[in-house]
Amino acid sequence: VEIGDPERTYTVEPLEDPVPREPSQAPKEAPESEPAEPEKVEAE
Amino acid sequence: VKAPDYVEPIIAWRAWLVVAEEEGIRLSSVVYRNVWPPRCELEATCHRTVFAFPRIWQKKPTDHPAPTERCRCGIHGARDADHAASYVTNELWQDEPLHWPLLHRAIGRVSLWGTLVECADGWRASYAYPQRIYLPEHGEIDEAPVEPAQLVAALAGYGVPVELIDCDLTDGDAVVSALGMRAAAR
Repeated sequence: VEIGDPERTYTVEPLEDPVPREPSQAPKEAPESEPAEPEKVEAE
Repeated sequence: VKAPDYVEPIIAWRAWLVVAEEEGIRLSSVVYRNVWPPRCELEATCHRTVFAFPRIWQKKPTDHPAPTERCRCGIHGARDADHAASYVTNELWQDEPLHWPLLHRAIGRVSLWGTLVECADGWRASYAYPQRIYLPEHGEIDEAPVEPAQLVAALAGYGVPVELIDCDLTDGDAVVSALGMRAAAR
């Protein structure tokens, strides 16, 4: 695009990302497994 | 650490080609053969080459970051839609062969950030991403087997609004007029 002669230079750091990025694939948390019941064994 | 001058992206106007690239339907710059990646910013590089002294028969790329005031590099955006519309309708892209089939042409708003060189009628930036894409509903592209309505769906992968505008892409004034009506209706 023909936009003419330069006039000044500056920096822009957006607070919000202008790019609608792919939602990050958060790792699924492993379900906490129930503690195993103690095995009943015959007393000797 | 230097604080930025602004914390909002500059919103400008620009034109794109719509091409069928290997990975899908994409926006491409009109003058250079840059494909704009979906969901990722486009980063500017300087395409200019300079003589490689003392071997002046060889040329090498410039090694400066884009953009700078002394060069014409950077991702261009126009202040007004009518500046950008002239690039929708012209045939500049024919100067350099396209690597991919041309499907259509688009106009839209673009977010610009990073280092910006402000010019009389627009900006040159180091980073850019489409903010809103408009496709003219009418106008023949010889190679295009795809209807504009199908392209709207295909370009949805950019994650920004994509809309048809009721005009012919060969008529720059009609494109600007349709954009004005769309803005007034919003």
